[in-house]
Amino acid sequence: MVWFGELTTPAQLYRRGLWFLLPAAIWILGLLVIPGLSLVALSFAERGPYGEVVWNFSLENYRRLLGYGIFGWSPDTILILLRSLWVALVTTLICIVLAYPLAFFIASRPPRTRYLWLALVIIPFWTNLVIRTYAWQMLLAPDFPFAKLAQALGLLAPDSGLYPSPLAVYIGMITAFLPFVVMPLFSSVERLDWSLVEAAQDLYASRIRTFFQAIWPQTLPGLTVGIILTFIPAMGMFVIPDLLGGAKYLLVGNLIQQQFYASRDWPYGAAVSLGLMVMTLIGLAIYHCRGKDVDLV
Amino acid sequence: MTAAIRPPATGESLSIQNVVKKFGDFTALGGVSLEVPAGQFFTLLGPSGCGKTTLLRIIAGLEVPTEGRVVLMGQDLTPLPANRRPVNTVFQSYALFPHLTVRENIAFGLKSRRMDRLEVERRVRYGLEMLQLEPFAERLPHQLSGGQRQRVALARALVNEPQVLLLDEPMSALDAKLRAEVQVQLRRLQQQLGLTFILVTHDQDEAMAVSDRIALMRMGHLEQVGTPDEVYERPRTRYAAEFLGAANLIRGKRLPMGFEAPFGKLALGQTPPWDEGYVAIRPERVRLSEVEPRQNGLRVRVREAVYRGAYQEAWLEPCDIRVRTAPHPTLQAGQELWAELPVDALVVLDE
Repeated sequence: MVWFGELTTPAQLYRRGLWFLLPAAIWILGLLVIPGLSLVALSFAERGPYGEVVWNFSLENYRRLLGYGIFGWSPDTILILLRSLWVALVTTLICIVLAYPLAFFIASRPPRTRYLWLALVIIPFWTNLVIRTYAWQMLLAPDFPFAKLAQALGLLAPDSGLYPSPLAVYIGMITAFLPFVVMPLFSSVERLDWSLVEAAQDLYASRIRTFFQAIWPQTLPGLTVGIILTFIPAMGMFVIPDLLGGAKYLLVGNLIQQQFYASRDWPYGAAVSLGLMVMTLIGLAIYHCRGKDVDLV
Repeated sequence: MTAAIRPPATGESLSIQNVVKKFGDFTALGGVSLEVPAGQFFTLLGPSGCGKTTLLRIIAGLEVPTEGRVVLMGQDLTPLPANRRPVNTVFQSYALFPHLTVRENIAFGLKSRRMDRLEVERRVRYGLEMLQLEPFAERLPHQLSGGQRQRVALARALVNEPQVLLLDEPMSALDAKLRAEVQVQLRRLQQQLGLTFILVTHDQDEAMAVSDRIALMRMGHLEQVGTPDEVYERPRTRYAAEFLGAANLIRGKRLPMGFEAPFGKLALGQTPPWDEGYVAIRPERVRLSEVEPRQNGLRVRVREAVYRGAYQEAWLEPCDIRVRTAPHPTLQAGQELWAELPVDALVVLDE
């Protein structure tokens, strides 16, 4: 066959095509497959007395993950995993609820100001997440207006701050992830076919029915992207709970970080990482299956 | 076929009272008043931008009039939102819900009103049957052809038993052949159901084919309202004469008895209201003959003749009149003969 003026065969072309795949293949192999497999291998190893990795095959790390420790069974690790799942779900949900009005507001602006509003959503990203989180520490401190207001209303003991607390973690998480839901949702809302909304109105639909039948299905592609971009990183987030949650509000991200730094227990850290990965994949699988009856295209 | 859902209403009507619609500085409708008797096939005809779709959307409740009222059977609809008006719309794009099947689309309005499940089923079955959609009931809109989608849109609106059905250029997306078929079906459907249909179109052939009455619109105003033959045979303005079919417009002066055209005197059936203005005659009403007619005869020469199969068309000089006649005997350019502009075919325009 002739390919761009050159006489060749499909097999030759195929072989040449493989060369173009090489950079991506090396990338994935080096940064995903090998580390991933190392993590699996590591999770079956043991911690030595000085924090080194001892290559004995053992299921001890997974027993610990399920809560069996030196002092018998305790629900702590499972609690941390479930709490992480819960925080990620609540964060995603609140981001969705906040992002809908925001996306519609931005999409309904005249084109000239629309991108200004969009820029305002993106600008916080120009600041590092750690710095933004420290900023929240200050904003939620005892002598700042938010805490003062809560103290005045009797919701907070005098001279105490709003951080560290679960609330502070949620505030930090939601503000960090909101743009990840707003952006893809906005792109769906911008392309909305409003004649469907008019048709629903014409066919006696209430506002709620109009939203769920004429608008919601059209925003599903953007919403799906937003959920994936929020839920997965929220599951593993450790900067925000570390800085805003305090010692009593550990999430799985903190647990993993502790194993690799403070405790120097890499094998257990690897096992917890894999546990997190499995949980995230299960969550996505559930979403994917439930989304099957909805046309995502 | 199936009997009408409801006995046809009579006498009661839709009344548009001095409706004005402004979009910023632009006046889309400048005070339109209309009475549509129940059970009529009424057409709003006009070029794009004449305000016909805006008027339809005001009736549907999708647009709020700046001034004026929409009254249906004595009830003022103006303050009601679209979802509380007893009217339904067939949208130009059909606006079918892409994630719902044909059956679910048709049931949409019924479910919105929380109708009893059995009644929903009965009406959906009726709608599917009425528009021959049974084989497609479980399909999604993107699996249907344009004509099928249009029938789904019609069924979805009709099963609600609206008092008025609004149709916004429902045939513009269909090809010419299918359009002609659908026009006949639509007319038949309207007569069977005895419902009031209000159609918006820019296609004068379509308007003539389906309507009981036509409202010709121009720049936010009603130009002329009447039955298709009234509007065609007795256009009142140059715009009406030219928008519906072809017309010869002759400018001239009023005489004590008749009319002074550039090419001679003509007798008229009525006295013009002006001193100088236009009379119109349809090309097919001009009569050609070898002998001099008794009245309004002109000696003419054929400047150009075009054979069109079903008829032939010719331009005559020196009077610059267009004629449409039977295809035989074939006219030749340069041929000389007599043209008669019959008195009853000459229409005096208002301007």
